[in-house]
Amino acid sequence: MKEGYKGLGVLMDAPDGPNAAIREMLRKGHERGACDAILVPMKVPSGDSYMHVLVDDVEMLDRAAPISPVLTVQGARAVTSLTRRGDEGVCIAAVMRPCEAEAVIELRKLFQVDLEHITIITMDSPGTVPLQDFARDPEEGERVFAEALATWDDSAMRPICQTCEKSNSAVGDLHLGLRGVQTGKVLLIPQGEKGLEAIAKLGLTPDHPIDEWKQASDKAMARKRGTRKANHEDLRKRASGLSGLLDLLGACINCHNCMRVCPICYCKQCKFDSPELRNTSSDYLDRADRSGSLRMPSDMLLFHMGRMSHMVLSCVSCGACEDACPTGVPVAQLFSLVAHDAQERFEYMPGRSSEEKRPLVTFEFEEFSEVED
Amino acid sequence: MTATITIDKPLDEGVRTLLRSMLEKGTVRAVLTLRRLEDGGGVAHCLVTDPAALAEAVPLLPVMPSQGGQVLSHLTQEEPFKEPVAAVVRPCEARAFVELMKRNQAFGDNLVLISPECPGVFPVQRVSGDPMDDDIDAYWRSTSEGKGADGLRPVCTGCELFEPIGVDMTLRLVGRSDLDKVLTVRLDTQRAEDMVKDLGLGKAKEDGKDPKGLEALRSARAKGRADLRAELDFTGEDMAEFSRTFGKCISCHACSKVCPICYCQMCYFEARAAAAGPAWWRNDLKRKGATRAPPGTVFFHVGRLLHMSISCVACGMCEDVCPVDIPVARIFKKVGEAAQEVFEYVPGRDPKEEIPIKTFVEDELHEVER
Amino acid sequence: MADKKKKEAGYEPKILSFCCNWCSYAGADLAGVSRLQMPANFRTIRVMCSSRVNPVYVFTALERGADGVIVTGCHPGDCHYARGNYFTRRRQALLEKVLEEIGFDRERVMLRWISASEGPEFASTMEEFDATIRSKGKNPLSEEVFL
Ligand code: SF4
Ligand code: SF4
Ligand code: SF4
Ligand code: SF4
Ligand code: SF4
Ligand code: FES
Repeated sequence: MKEGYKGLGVLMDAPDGPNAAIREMLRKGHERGACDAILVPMKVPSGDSYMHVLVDDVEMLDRAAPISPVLTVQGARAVTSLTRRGDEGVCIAAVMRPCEAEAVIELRKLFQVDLEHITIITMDSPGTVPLQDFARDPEEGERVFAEALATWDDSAMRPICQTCEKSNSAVGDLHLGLRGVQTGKVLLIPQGEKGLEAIAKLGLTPDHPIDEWKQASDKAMARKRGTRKANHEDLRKRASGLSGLLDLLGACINCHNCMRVCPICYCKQCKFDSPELRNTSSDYLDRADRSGSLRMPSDMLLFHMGRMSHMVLSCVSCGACEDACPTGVPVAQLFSLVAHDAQERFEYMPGRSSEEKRPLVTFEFEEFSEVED
Repeated sequence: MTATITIDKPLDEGVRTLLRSMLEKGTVRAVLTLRRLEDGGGVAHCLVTDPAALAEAVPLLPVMPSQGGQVLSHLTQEEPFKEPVAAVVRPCEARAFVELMKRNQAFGDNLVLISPECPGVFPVQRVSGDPMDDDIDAYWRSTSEGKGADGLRPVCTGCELFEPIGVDMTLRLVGRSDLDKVLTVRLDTQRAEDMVKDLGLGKAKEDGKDPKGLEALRSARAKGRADLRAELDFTGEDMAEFSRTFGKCISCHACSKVCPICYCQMCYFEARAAAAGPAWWRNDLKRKGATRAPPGTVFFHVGRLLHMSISCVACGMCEDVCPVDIPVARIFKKVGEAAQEVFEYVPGRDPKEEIPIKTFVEDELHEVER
Repeated sequence: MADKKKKEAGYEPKILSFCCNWCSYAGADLAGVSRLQMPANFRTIRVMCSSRVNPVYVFTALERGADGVIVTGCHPGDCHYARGNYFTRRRQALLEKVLEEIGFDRERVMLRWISASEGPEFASTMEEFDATIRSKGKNPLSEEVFL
C-alpha cells in the first residue's frame, strides 16, 4: 500500500447504488478541475455491451457504468491507446477494475503508458460475467451481475474471478470500497499523493475508519485464496506433462486471439506471428516426416509456451485471454497458475507499484543458487 | 465429359482410402487433411506424410478449425511444392487459395486439390466439448436428401458456391442415396485421371446424371442466401445500424487474423492505431465531447471491407471466432457480393482472372464520373 | 452521439478535395488566379495522380469529421501516368458501393475529371459540391462517439 494511506476514507452517500454515486463523484471531480477528462466504461448505443469511453462532456456520464458487468476491452489497452505517445498534459481520471489497473502499472514499466497525469480509480470487484455468455444473452448477464453485486456471491462470475485474491486491492490512487460497507454508502479510500490531492479537490476529508471494509475484504480474499489453491491444485494435475498440457490446449485453433487481447502482450509485431516462424514448403515437409504428420498452422505449443515465457511474470490474471478464446480453452486459468508460481519465486506482484522493477530486468548478487549447477 | 470412380467405402473412410493409396503408391509426397489429434481431442489441418497417420484423418468432418486456403498459403508462400501434394479442402477454402495466389501469397504448382460438394460446416466451437456424433448422422442424412443440415454456420446456409470450382477431384456427396456405402469421386482434370489410373481403385466411368437432391440443395441455398441478405438491413444515410452492430466489438481483430484474404503481416489498421497520438483523441473530445478508447473500431471494419471484401469467399471463419457474436461473415458476404457484382467478379473462380481493382476496362462505370 | 445530432444554423461544411498534380490542381490554381467565385470551405490535398487516393483515405476523412470528400483527376486518356485514373474510377465504384451497403450517404463522396485548363469547371464543381453537402447538413459520423 502506498504512502498516504492512513486508515481513513470518506463515507459517501449512495442512495441510488454505487454506480450512481461514482458517476456523481466523477462529475464533481470534473467540475472542480480534479481532472480534464474521464475514462470510464459506458453502455454502447445498442445496449448490449460496455466500452471504455474518454469523456469530456459530463452530460454523457449518465450512460457511464463504472462497475460494468463484463470485461470487454481490457482497460489497460484503453489507457495505452490514449497515452502511449504521451498525453500532452491532459489529466485523466481512469475508472477500472483492480486487474485492469495492475496491467496499467505493468505497462508503465514497459513504457507503454504515461501515468503522469492519470488518476486511477478502482473499486471492489464482484467479478465479471463471461464475455461470451454476456454476448449471447445480455439481459441475463445483467441480471446475474446485479445479483453478484448485491450478494457478493461470485459463483456465476468467470472462473478466474472466483480465484482472484486481488479483486479488492486498492492498487490505484483512489479506491471505492463496497464490501462490508453499510448499504446505501460507498467508502472512498485515497492512496498516495495523487489520491489525497483528488480528495482535496473534491472538497472531502478522509475521516471514516476503513477497518470494517478491510476486515470484510480480508475475509473474502482469504476465501478466494482457498478457492484458488484448490483450483490450481486441480489444474496443476491436469496440466502436468506434455500430454496433459496438450489435452488442456486440445481445442486451440492457434488463432492467437488470447495474445491480441492480453494487455501485457503489447508488441505491435508478435514474434509468434512473425515471418521468423514461417518455413518453406520443403521445411514443412521435412517436419511432417519426423512424426508422419504436422499440425497446421504449426507451432501451437511453441506459441503458448513462448508467450508464457515472455510475459507471465507480468500476467495480472485478468482473464481477457480466456474471454476472447473462440474455442473455450481455459487459457487464463493456465496462465494464472504459472504466473502465480513464477511470481511467488521472485516475490513479485505485477501492478503492486510502478517503482518496483520487473524481476527479469534486475537481480541480486546472492540469489537462486539452486539453479546454478 | 468427365470421368468418375467409385470407392467402395463411404465418406471419411472412402477419402482415407483414396488418400492412403495415393500416399502409398507415391503418387503424392504428402496430403493435407483434417485429422484428429493424438492429445486433447482437437481437430486440425495436418500435413501427413506417413500413410499410417491417416488412420486419424477426418477429411469430411464438418468443421473448419482454420481456413484451408490460409493453411495452404502458409505452406507454399515461399516456394511451391516440388512434388505433388494432395489437399482435401472445402470449396470456399479452394477459392480463398486462388485469391491468395493472385496476391502472390501462395503457389499452386504441384498441388492436387480434392474438394467435396459441401454440405456446410458446424461452428468451430464444436471442435471441442460436445461430441458431434449425433448431429453428424443427421447431417449426412440431410445431405443425401439434398437438404441443409441444422446447426450449420449461418453463412453456409446461404452459400450457393458449394460445388467446387477449379479443383482436380470433386467428392460427390449431395443428394446421393448411396452415401453410406460408397464414395463417388469425379475426376475434373487430366492430371487427376492420370493419378487415379494406377491406384487400383477401379476403372473410371462416364459421369452419371446429377441426382435430384443436388438441384434441391441448389434451390435451398438460393433461398438461404436471400434470407441472409434480408436479415441484415443497414439502409439509411448515417451508418447508424452498421455502427450499432459493431458497437460491442472488442477490437481483437480475430476476424481479420483468421480471414484467409487478410494475409498482411502488419495490418494497416493496427499500425495506424498504434501510431495514433493524443492529437487524435483531443480532436475527438473537442468535436464530440467523448471518444471511444481504443479508437477506430468501426473504422477498422469499414476499412477491412474496402480492402478485402472484393475477394471475400464467404467462408465464415471471421464470424466463428468473434467472441461477441457479431455476424461478421454475414455482413462481409453481403457487402462483398454487392461489390463483386459491380465488377461481375467471383473470387476464386479462375486463377487467371485479375482482381477487379488491379485492372480496368476503358469504357465502363461512367455512373461514378459525376 | 446520434441523439445529439442537429442541423446547426450557420453550419459551414468541411470539404476535402484530393487534386491531381497534373490536372485539377493546376485547374484549381487557374480558378484562383482568374479570381473566380469559389466556396472557401474546402481544403486540398495534392496527389501525384488521382489513383494515389486509396478509398480508405476517403473514409478516414469522413470518419474524422469531413462533411464531403471530392476526388478529382485528369480526364480518361489524359492521365500523366497513362492509366492511373481508370483505376481511380474502379476504386470509386468500390467505395460508393461499400458506402451504400453500410448505409452511409454515398453522395458525400464524388469523383470528377477536371483538366489543367478547366479553371471555371473547377470553380463550378466546388460550388456544386458545396451546395450538395450544405443541403445535407453535418456528417452524422462527426458527432458519433462509438466509432
Ligand atoms: S495472459 Fe491472460 S490473464 Fe494474464 S494478463 Fe494476459 S490476458 Fe490477462
Ligand atoms: S488458446 Fe484460444 S485464443 Fe489462444 S490461440 Fe488457442 S484458440 Fe486462439
Ligand atoms: S484489413 Fe487490410 S491491411 Fe488489414 S490485414 Fe486485411 S487486407 Fe491487410
Ligand atoms: S471476411 Fe470472413 S467470410 Fe470473408 S473470406 Fe474473410 S473470413 Fe471468410
Ligand atoms: S472478431 Fe468480433 S470482436 Fe473481434 S474485431 Fe472482429 S468483430 Fe470485433
Ligand atoms: S495523373 Fe492526373 S489522374 Fe493520373
